[in-house]
Amino acid sequence: MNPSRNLLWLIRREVWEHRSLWIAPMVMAGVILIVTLFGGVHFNDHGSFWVGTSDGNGPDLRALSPEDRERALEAMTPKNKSIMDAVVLGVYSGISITMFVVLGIVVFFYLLDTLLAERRDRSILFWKSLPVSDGEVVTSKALTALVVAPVFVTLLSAVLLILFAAVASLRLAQLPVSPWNAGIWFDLQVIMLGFVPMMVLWYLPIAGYLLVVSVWARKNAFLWAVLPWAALLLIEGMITQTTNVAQFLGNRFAGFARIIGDNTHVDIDSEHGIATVYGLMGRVYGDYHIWLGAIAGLALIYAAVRIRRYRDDS
Amino acid sequence: MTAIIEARGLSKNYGGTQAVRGVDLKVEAGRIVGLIGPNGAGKTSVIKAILGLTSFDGDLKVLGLDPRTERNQLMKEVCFIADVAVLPRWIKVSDAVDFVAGVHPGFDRKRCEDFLARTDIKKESKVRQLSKGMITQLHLALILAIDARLLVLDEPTLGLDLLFRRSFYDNLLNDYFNKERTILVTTHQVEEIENILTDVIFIEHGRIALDAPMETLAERFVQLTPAAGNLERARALKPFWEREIFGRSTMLFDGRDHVQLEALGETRAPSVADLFVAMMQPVNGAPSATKEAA
Repeated sequence: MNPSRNLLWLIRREVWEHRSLWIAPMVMAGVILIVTLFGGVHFNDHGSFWVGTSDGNGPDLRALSPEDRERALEAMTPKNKSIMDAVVLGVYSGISITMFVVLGIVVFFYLLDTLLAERRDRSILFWKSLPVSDGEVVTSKALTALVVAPVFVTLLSAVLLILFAAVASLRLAQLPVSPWNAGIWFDLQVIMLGFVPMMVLWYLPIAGYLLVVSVWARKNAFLWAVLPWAALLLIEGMITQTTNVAQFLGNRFAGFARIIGDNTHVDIDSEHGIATVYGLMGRVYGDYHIWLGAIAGLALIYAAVRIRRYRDDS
Repeated sequence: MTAIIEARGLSKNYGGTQAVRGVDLKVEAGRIVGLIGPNGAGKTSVIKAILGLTSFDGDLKVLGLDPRTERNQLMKEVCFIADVAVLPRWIKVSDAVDFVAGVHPGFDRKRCEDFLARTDIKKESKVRQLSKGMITQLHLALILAIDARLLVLDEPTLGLDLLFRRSFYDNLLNDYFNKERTILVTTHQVEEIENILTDVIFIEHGRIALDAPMETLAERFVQLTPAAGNLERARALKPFWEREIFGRSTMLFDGRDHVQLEALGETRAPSVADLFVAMMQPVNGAPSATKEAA
């Protein structure tokens, strides 16, 4: 028996079974492209532009009278490179963040469901009749959520940005601005190389917790995952009137932002932009919280393996 | 002969209820063993213990391995169908074949595909599009293409119609069984499998009520329909079961002299189904004599 060969097949199985893992990000990418293709072209006096739905960036170019249009175009002509770069960076980041929010949501529900689904449809009796261990099965699920899906979304986002720039270029063809900036695109990918693993490590304990709930719950995994914490929040609030639980949860979800700190405006297009961003991420990598959480996450994943051993609803 | 399954004092507790109470069991290689018992008798618990799907007390070795601690090793040599309709409904037939081929070193893809070619199952179908009978055929095609030393079937034909049940067991015998393989099958439809079994084990209230090779049943057990006037003499020989139909009694005897019984009326070898019914509901409050005999 070859464990890595088994893992590959088990991951393939996850991709077959939980299609929302890759379909939902692709749908979101499609929506972004369609909005870009058919949405309005907006701009403001600072030379910013936005292709897509109105988001307060100013009136739709198509709705203007010829004189106003002339004036708007003049204003839009980039006054300097850094404003344009900031606009492009903002748009690229916005699109990438949207994709990663979708990833977070599908992975959350995937982890909650995956070890329950195989018991719900009783297919666990089929999987258990094959020479794959509980460790391999649970590991394949953790890898699907924490490696396969994030890598897929990272690559999809990179391609999406290129497609977005291509579509937006069509819409902006008559205008003296370009939505494509290879340097910024490349910088963003370099940042992702450090950022995606950081997020995976940071959210490892939450992923492990969700797997434990998934393997343990007989149904209503979502409620089992959420209600105990809601109850703890309430009880703490009523009895001691402190907010330790809330702080703990806040830390587990967004503590990396606190570690990075507030004063984090970085001009990544500047000479040392990338180095600065990596410096900020280095603070998170260097903090014990991320590693403590990762160890707890691995322990929880191991617990899920042990629980699956004799978990049986029939 | 090596024991494929060997249990001593196998017990299983479910929060106070004893599902299995100290079962001793030995299954040799190359046998087809029927584990037969009413619902709740402990069949499934014994099966689950053998397959390492549940914890248990006592000693149990399957292929010389402990199912509790050596399950991963065990599953290379053992396969099972725990029930029909446990194939994941979202999987495509061809993907299911690919998957088993991918993870099971003992899987013979050609054998599986030959089997499937004889059915109406389309490779591009998803399991959810197949009828219940077809799902069973697919499951069978997958499992029977695995070169395993022990095959365990737990109520494999539950909910299937007669035609599928019949062809299921035909396939099992013709395509799968040989002297190196051992099959353990549970069912409560005794009459359908009694012709293929080499051994029969009755289990009742978590205990073994009978464990015997099929060929010894005819020697041990006699079914007697006493001739008129011989009724009391027959009863004096202590049948462990008796029932009256249309005013005529039928009795079952364990370990009595055949010649003596033949003198009293019509005798014949009871079917496994007859024995099963008799042992599961002993009349006259008599405990089944076979317990001590076995």
